[in-house]
Amino acid sequence: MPVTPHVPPHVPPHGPPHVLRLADVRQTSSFRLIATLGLVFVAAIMALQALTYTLTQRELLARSDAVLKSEMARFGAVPGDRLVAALNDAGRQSASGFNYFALENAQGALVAGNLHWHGAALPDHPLELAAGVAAPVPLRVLVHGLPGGQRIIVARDIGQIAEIRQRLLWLSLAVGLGVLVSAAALAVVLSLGPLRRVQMFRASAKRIAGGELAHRMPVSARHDELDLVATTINAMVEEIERLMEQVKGATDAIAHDLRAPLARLRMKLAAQGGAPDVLGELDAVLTRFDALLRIAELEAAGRRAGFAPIDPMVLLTTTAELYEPLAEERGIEITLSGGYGHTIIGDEALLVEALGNLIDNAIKFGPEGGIVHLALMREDRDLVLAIADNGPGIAKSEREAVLRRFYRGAASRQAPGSGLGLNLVAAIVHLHGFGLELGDATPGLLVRIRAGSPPI
Amino acid sequence: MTHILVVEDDPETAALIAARLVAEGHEVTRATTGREALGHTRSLRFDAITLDRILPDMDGIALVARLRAEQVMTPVLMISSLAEVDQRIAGLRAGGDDYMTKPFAPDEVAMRVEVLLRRGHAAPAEGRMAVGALEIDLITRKVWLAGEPVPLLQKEFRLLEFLARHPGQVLSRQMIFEQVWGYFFCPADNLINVHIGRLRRKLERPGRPAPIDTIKGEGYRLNAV
Repeated sequence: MPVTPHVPPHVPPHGPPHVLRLADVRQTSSFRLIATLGLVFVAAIMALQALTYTLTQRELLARSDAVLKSEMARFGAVPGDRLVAALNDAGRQSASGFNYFALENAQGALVAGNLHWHGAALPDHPLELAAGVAAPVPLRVLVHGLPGGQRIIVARDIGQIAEIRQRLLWLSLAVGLGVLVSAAALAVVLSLGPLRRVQMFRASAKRIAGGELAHRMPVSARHDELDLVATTINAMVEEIERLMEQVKGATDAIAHDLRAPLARLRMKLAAQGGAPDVLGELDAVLTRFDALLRIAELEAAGRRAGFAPIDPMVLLTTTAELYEPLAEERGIEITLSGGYGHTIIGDEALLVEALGNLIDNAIKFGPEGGIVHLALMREDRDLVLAIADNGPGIAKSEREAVLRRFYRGAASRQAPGSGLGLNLVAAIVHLHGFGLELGDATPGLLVRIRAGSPPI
Repeated sequence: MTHILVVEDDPETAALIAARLVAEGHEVTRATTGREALGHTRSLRFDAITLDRILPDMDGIALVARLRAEQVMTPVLMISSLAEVDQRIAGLRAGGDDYMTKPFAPDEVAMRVEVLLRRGHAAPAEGRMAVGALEIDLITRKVWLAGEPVPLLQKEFRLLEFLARHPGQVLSRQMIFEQVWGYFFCPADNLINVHIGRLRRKLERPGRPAPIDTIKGEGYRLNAV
C-alpha cells in the first residue's frame, strides 16, 4: 500500500473569502465588454486626433509656404544688381526677426541678408529647420538657385506653428489617456455590481448545498438576466425543498407509525418474558429500522451543523483505539500509517461511525490472525483515508451492488448485521461531499474515503 | 421513597415504564399531556421525570424549557423515537439531563433513572474515590486494587471511572458508550464487551474475580463490596 508518512499540510478547502479581487473583476463579462468598447473608442479618438493634427499642420505650413513663395517671387523679379540691396532691406525691415533672407555666392558665402545657413536643399521645395540650427526658432526655408551658382534663401519663423502642433499632440495624448483610464474605471465600476451579485449567488448556493433548503437566491427589482437566472434557480430549490419535505415526512411517519408500535411490542414481549429468539428477531428488525431511518435522515437532512475542522489522522487513531480490543479478540492486528497535521471539514461523530463500520466489517470478514490497515494518504490535492483488510474482499462485479440497501455479499451471508453498514457509510461519506471507492487490497477489501474539495 | 413523574402519552408504554419503576421501589405518578405534567410539577415534588419527546399538546423540549423556567430542577430523562444527534443535542440543551431513544428496554429506563437519582451522591469532592477494594485517584488518574497499583490506559480509566461513579448500579452498553466515548450511535454489542473484558482482566487477582459483573441482557455493574 502506498503510504506517505509526512505529507505537507493540507490546506482546508474552505470557500474563498468574499473579498472582490481585481483578478475576479478582470474576468467578468461586463468588464471585458466595457474594456473592449473603451479600447475601440480610444482608437477612434486617436484616429480623429491624428487626422486633425495632420490636416491642421499641413494647412498652416501651406500658408507659411505660400508667403515664402510670394517673397521668393518678389526677389526673383528684382534685377541682379539690386538684389543685394533688396535682400538687406528686407532683412532690416523684418525687425521682429520673423523673416530671414540670404544671398549666397557660388562658394556658399553670405553676400547679403541676415540668415547664416549653408545647408543643402532642393531648390524651390520648402523644408523645415529645427530650432537652433540656423536661428533660435524653428524655420521654414525656401531656396531658389540663380544662374551662376548663386542662391536666394528665404526663411520664416514657424515657432507658432510648431507650438500649435505640439499642443495638438499633447492634447491627443491626454485625451486618449483620459478616455483609456475612464473606460477602465468605468469597466471596473460597472462590473462590480454584477460581480457582487454573482458572489452573493455563490454564497447562497453554498448555504443551500449545506442543507439550508429554505434559503433563496437574492433577486433584485431590476428584472435583468441575473435575476432571471436567480429566479430559475429558486424555482429549482423550491422543488427540491418540497421533495425533501416529502421524504422527511415519510421518514418521520415511518419512525412514528411503524417503529414505535414495533418498539412497544418488543417492550411488552420482554415484559412478559418472551422467547429470546423472538426478541432477537424483533431486535434485528428494529436495528434495520434504525439504520434505514438514520440513512434516510442523513440523506435528506444534509445535516452539517456539527461540521468542524478535524485532523483525519486523529480520526483514524481514535477509531482504531475503539476497535482495537475487538480486533485483538479475533487475533487481528490494526496497523496505522500516515501523518498528523492535516485538516478535513466534517462531523467527527459521523465519521467515527463510518470508519467504525468499515473497521468492524474488516474485523468481521478478515481471517483470524489477519491485519486491518488504516492509512492516511495524499493523492493530488485530496486526502485519502484507506481501510484495507486481508479477508475475502468483494468481487469487482459485486462492488456496486454492496452499496445497495440490504445487499449482502456471498461471503457475508452468515455474518451478523443489518446489511446496511456500507449504505450508512456511503450516506455519511456523501453527506460530507467525499468520495467512496471500493477496491482490491490484493488480497482483501480496500475501502478509500477520498476527502477532496467540498462541492461548490 | 423516591417519587418519579412519568410523562408519556402512550398508555401501554407508560404502564411498562411505571411497572418497572414501581418494581424498583419508586413511587410513580403518570401524566399523558404536557399540561397535566406541568400541573403535577406545580403541586408535587418529584425526584426524577421521564418525558416523552412528542406529546399530544406540546413538544417535550418545550416542556423541559418551561419546567426549567419555573425553577423546577428535577432531573429529566427524555425518551424519544427521534434518534438524530441534533434532536439529542436539542433535548439536552433545553435542560434535559439524559436522552434515550425508543425502543428501549424498561430496564434501561430504570437504569438511567437510577443514575439520575443518585447523581451527585457518588461524586467525590476531593478527587478520590473508593469502591470496595478499588481506590481511584481522579487527579493523578491512578488506580489501586487492594493497595496494589493497577496500570490502566486512558480509555480504561475513563471506563472504570464511569462504573465507579455508579457503584452497584447496572449500566447498559449504550450508556457506557455514550458516557465514556461520547458517541451516540449504536455500536455492535460486543464492542463494549471487549473493552469491559480488557478492564476486567486487569482487575483480576488470583482467586479473586474482577469486581465487574455482567448482567445478562442488561449491562455491567461494578460491585461495591
